[in-house]
Amino acid sequence: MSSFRSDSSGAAEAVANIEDLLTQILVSVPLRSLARFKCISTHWRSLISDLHTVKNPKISTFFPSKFQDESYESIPLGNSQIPSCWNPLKILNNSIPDGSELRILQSCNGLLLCLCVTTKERRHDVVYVFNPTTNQFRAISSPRVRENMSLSAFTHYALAFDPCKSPHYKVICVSNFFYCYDRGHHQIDIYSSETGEWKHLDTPFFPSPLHFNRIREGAVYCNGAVHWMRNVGGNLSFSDARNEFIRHETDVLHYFDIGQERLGLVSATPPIPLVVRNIPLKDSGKSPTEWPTFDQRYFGESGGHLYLIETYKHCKTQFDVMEMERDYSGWFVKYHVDLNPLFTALPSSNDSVILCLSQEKEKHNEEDSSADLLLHMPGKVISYNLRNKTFKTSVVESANEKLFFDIDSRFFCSEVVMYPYMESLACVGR
Amino acid sequence: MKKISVRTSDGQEFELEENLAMESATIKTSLDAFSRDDIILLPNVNSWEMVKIIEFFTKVQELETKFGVKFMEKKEGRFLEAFQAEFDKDLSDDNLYCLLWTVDYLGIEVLLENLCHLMAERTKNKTVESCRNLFGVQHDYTPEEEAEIREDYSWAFEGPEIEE
Repeated sequence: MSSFRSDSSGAAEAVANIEDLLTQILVSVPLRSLARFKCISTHWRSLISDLHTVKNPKISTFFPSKFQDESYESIPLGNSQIPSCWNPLKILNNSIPDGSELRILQSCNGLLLCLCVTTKERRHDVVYVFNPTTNQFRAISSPRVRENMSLSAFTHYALAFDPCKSPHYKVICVSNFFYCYDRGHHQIDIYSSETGEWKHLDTPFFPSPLHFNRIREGAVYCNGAVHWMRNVGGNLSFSDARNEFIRHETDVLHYFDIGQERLGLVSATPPIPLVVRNIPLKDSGKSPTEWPTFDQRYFGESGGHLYLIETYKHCKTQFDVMEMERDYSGWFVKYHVDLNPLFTALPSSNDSVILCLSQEKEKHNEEDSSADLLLHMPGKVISYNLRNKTFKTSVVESANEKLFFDIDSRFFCSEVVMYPYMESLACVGR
Repeated sequence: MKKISVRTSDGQEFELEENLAMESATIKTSLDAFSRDDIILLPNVNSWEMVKIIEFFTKVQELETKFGVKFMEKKEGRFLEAFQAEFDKDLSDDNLYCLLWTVDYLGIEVLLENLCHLMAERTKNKTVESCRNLFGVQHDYTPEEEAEIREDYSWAFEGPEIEE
């Protein structure tokens, strides 16, 4: 059967010829070596490209969207091979002009989109598409000039990158500069890494421009479109006619479909969270005994679905994980999460920051994929399985533990968003 | 505990405890098809490989007692380190490749993962050329294509490499 049995020098070749086995070996090879091994042959290159893809996301670290000082520290997870001195953003920071501040806008399948905000008078913003694993970046000058700074003017950027579909990425820029309530047009420009150029889209006048300027910074790429959430935390009021909490404003979700090059709007008012509905009422149900205060919100993507989580201060340990229907017909509650058992088991912390959702695909049973919720507590990252309701703790090593308290306290003031990052060899281009 | 008998390619017979034998998907399939009293023939397995596999299971049991954890769970970091320290020193490269092939054939998941990790460690610093020779891979890039990749990943080619 195996001819190498008589000649052991052919054993390595026999092993490499079994694709599953070779893949299993390559998974443990550090990324730097994998980058070199891409030169071995076209077959090895495609094997390696498939290793760290959307199908096998391995979240290795979290980056905060804003950095307080020049430390640019991130929160690495225990399973990563990242050395503790790794500080790629510092390297990027060295390349930007003095007096500028670097902000991360988005993390998309192995690439980061960063915005360079200058205090100086600067007409064109610069966005950076950056791969922290390879330390490569591309500086892209914005197509729009910041002409006037009226309160309603805005520019939003998003990155669309799906290594399963294409090694190239696109950057979308939606902007609108108009005076006061003059309606104006949305300007949409798309940058393609393949051409290295911006393309301007002629779009018709968009009916509700005012909605777009209260956008939470940080688009989410999912299923061929980039999505923007509005920055309306909570949005609750009490209806004494219906004796219940209601959302006092219809919420909308903006998205840009990359393939169809079309901006869309989805009416997406999330249902009232269970913890809010459970607030006891008084005065024969005419008013609540307690007013829910909005705590934190998570908006992200996992396994090809959009997820939204809102937590409220009066009951931080319970929340709903909401998923958006594939056809954008609305949010539905996918999981009710009760973290009380978790907090009872870990008494040293009573607060947590929701980092992200992560789909763990079991190797042998693709249908059986369940989502894990990653939570940050001082000194640890907890991975909570939403289906089995079990959790795993990994200790987060940090030279400066106080840093995470700072990140989290700024997080709770809704200033900072944590972006999950998975290592990748994606090229940003020369 | 029931013992399962196996015979390797060179005619040597080994007795394995049933629960350990069942860790091999291949042996398990044979046991399901035939009676447990029969000797299972493993013509693709050498006796020295079987010795190593039994050594592995013994080691696992030792480490489980030491750390108090069930190590048949995959990707347990401490086990990986302990395993590598034990197996790395007396397994030559050639033997490692043969053992890897055999363990894959026998379908012993947990040992396979650890051996793959070991192989990854030994391979990571090799040059592109030595990998091609070792794994018998056909070089199918044009000089221009290869130059492009080397430029895209120039950062990866800096630093220490072992020519083997």
